[in-house]
Amino acid sequence: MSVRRVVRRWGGTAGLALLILLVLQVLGEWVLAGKGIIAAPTHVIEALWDDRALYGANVPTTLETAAKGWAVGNAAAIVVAGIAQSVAWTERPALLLGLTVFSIPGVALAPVLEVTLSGNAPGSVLAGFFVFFPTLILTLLGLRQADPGALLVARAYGAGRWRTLTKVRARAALPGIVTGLSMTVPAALVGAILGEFIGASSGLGVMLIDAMYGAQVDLVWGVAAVTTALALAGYYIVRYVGRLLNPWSPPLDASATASALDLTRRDGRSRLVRIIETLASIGLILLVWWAAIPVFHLSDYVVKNPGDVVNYLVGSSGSAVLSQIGITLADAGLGFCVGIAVGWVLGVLFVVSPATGRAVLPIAFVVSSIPAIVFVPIVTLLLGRGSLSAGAIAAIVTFFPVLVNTMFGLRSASGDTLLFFRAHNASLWQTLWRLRLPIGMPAMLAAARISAPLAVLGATLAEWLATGRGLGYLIVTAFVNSNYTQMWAAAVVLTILSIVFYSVLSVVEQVVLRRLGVAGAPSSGQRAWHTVLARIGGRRERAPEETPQLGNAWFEAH
Amino acid sequence: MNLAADMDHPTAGGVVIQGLQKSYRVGGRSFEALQEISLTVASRSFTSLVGPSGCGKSTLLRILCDLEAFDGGRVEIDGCPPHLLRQRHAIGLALQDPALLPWRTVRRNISLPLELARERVSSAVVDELIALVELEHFADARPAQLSGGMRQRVAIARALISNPQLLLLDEPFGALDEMTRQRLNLELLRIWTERPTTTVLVTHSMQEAVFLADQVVVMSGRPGTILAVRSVDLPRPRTVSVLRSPEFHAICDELLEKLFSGGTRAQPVEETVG
Repeated sequence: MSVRRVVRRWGGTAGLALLILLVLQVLGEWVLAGKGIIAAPTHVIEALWDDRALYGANVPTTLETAAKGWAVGNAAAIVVAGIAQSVAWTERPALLLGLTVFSIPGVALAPVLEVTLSGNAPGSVLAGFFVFFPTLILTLLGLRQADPGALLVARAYGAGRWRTLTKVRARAALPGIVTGLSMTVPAALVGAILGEFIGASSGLGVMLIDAMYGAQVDLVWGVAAVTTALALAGYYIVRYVGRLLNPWSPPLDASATASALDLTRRDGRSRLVRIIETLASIGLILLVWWAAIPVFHLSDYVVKNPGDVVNYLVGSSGSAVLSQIGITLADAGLGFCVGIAVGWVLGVLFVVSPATGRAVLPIAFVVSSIPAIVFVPIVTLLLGRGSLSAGAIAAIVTFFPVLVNTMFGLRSASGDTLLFFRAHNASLWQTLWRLRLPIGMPAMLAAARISAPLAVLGATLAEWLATGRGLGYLIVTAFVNSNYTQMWAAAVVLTILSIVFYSVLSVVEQVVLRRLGVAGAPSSGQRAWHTVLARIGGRRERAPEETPQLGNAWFEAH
Repeated sequence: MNLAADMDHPTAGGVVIQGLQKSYRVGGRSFEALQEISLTVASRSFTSLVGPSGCGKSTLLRILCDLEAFDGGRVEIDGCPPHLLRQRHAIGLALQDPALLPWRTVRRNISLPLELARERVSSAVVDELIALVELEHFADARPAQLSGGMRQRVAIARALISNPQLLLLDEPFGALDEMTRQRLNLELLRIWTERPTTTVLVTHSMQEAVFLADQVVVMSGRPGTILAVRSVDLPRPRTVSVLRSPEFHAICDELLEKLFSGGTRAQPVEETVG
C-alpha cells in the first residue's frame, strides 16, 4: 500500500485516537486533576513502568488461569459441536446446554464456584464457561458450511459418517474454529479476572480490586490498559497461528455467515416435541446438580441442592432475594435500552456515512476488546456508585455487538437492489427507510436478544463492585457472610432472570418481524446470532481492516 | 394516457452516444472499458447490445442510467444527459437479479419507483401493469412465493411503472433456464409492443438479441468497441415462427461471424491486460 493510501485509510482513525489521548491527558492533568477519576496517559505509562515488578508477579497468574479455561472450554465446545453434528438427536440438547451456559451470569457463578473449588480453579472454570458457547456455535456453523459437492463426492466414494467428519467437515470447520478461538480470548481473561475478585491471592483481578478500593487511579487505568493489550495480543496471535494452519481460507466472519443456527428455527418438529425437549433438558440439569453433591462428596453446608433453594425462596426469608429482582431488572434494563439505542443509531450513522465508520470502527474494536470487567472501576470513578454506573456498564457491554450487527444487517442489501435504488434517484433517507432498515431489522433485533444476558452480566457486575444493591451485590454479601442458601438462591434467581429476559426478547423479535412482514425474507437476523454471543466480555471477531475481502460487506461505499 | 406520454416524450430524440470513453484504474494501471463508442437508438425502438463477458456492454448500460461516470464523449437521451434523466426518475431498470424487496407484495414492489419519485400511487395504474405481465392472481403474493420467471416479470412491470423515457434491461432473464427464458422473451416482446419504450437490452445470446430488437449492436472486449451495428428488419409483431425463418438465421449468422472475427482480433489485447 502506498503511503497516500495508508494515510487515507488510517488517517482518520489515527487522528481520532490521538484526540482521545489528548483529551484524556488534558482532563487527567488539569481539568479533573486530583479528583481521582481520570489518569493522564503519561501518568499511566509512568505508573506502568514503576509497577513493572507488580505486573510481572500478577500477569502470569492471570494468564495461566485464563489459558487453562480457554483451552478446556474451547476443546469442550469443539468436541460437543462434533458430536452434535454427527449424532442428530444430540444437536438440540447441545445448543440448549450452550445457551444455558451463556445465560448464567458470571456474577452468579463466581461465588458458587468459589465455595466448590479451590485455588485458581474458579477463574479457569469461569473462563471456560465464557468461551464455550461462541466456539460451539462457530464450530457447528463451520461444520455445516462444508461444500455440499465435496460431501457428495465423499459419500459417493463410500465415506461413512466418521470419515466425512474427519476428511471434509473438520477441514471446513477450521475457519469457524479459528474465529471462535480468537474471539474468545478476551472472554477468557474476563473469566479469570472475575474469578480472582473473590478469594484469589494474586492476579490482575486482585490488583484491580485493590486499586479500585484504594482509589489508585493510575493503577486502575494501568490494569485496564494491560488487560486490553493482552486481549488484543491473544486475539491476533491466535488469528496468526490460525492463518498458518489454515492458509487456504480466511477465518470465518461470524457476522457475515449466511446460515441460521437458531434454537427457535422451524425444523419440522412439532411444538410439543420441542417443549418436551426443553423440559427434559431442564430436568437433566437439575438432576446433575442434585446428583453432583453426593457423587463428588461436596459439603452440603456450602453446596445447596435445588430443593434447598426452592424451600428458601418460598420461605419467610425468601423475600430478601426476591425483593432485589426489581433493582437488578431496572439496572440491566436501563443499560440494555441505552446500549441498544446507541448501537442502532451509530450503526445507522456509520452505514450512512462510511467515512465516519472507517475512522471510528477500529477504535470501537479496541474499546470492545477491553474486557468488560475493567470498565467497572473506571465507570465508577466517572459516574459514582449509583444506578447510573450499573446502567452504564450494562450499556457498554451491550453496545458493541449491537453496533456490529446493525451495520452488518443494514449492509446486507444486495448490490443490484442498491443499484436499482440509485437508478431511481432514491435519497439517502429513502434508501435507509425503504431498503436498509427493513433488511437490517432481523439482525438488529437478534443483536438485541443476544445482548440481553450480557446486559444482566454487566449490571450485576456493577452492583457487586460499585452500587451495593441488587442481586449482584446480594450474591456476594451472602458469600462473604457464609449465608450459602441465600447465595445459591440468588444465583438461581439471577440465572432464571437472565434466561427469561432472553426468551421475552426472542418472542418480541418474532412478533415484530411477523408484523413487519420481514420474517418471510431470507433472514439475516440469524446470521447475527453468532457474533453477539461472543460478547460476554466485549470483543468482536473480525478486525475492521480485514473486512474488504468480504465482498465489501463492511465498506461498500466505494 | 398514451397521449399524455406522447406529449412528454417527443418522438424525435432517443439515445445519442458520441465518442464515449470510459477507463478504469485497477492496481495503478488503467484499462479502457469503452473506446470511442458512437451509437444512436431511435426513440421507441428496441436495441440489443450483445458480446462476450467483459466487453463493456454492462458498463455502457450503467453509463446510460448514470450509475457510472464516463471520461469523454457525449451521451444524451431525448436531448438530456443521463443524470438529469435519473433525477427526473425517467429511467426504468431491470437487472439479472430481480432485486425485489422480499417484505413487499408484488403490488407494492411494482409501485416502489413511484414512491421513490414521491408520486401518488394510483392502484389502477399498478393493476394495469400487473395485468400486462399476467400476474393478476399473485398481486398480493410476496417474492418468496413466486417462481424465478414470475419475479422477473414483476421486475419488468416495476421498470415500466413510471413510464420511463428509457428502459434498460441488463440480462433480465440471464439466470433463468432456457425454456423459461424463451417464454419470457415472447412475453417481453408482447409487453414492449403494447408499450413501445426506448429500450436497450444487454445479453450474450445472439438469438435473443436478434429476436427482440430493431437494432443489434455487437461489441467486443478490451477495449470495449463496437464491431457491428445492424438493423433487424424482421416484421413485427414477431411470433415464435420468426425463430424458424431463414431471414432470422441469416442475421444471427452474419452477426456471429462478425463477433468471432472481431473476437480473434481482440485476443492479444486481452492477454496484455489480463
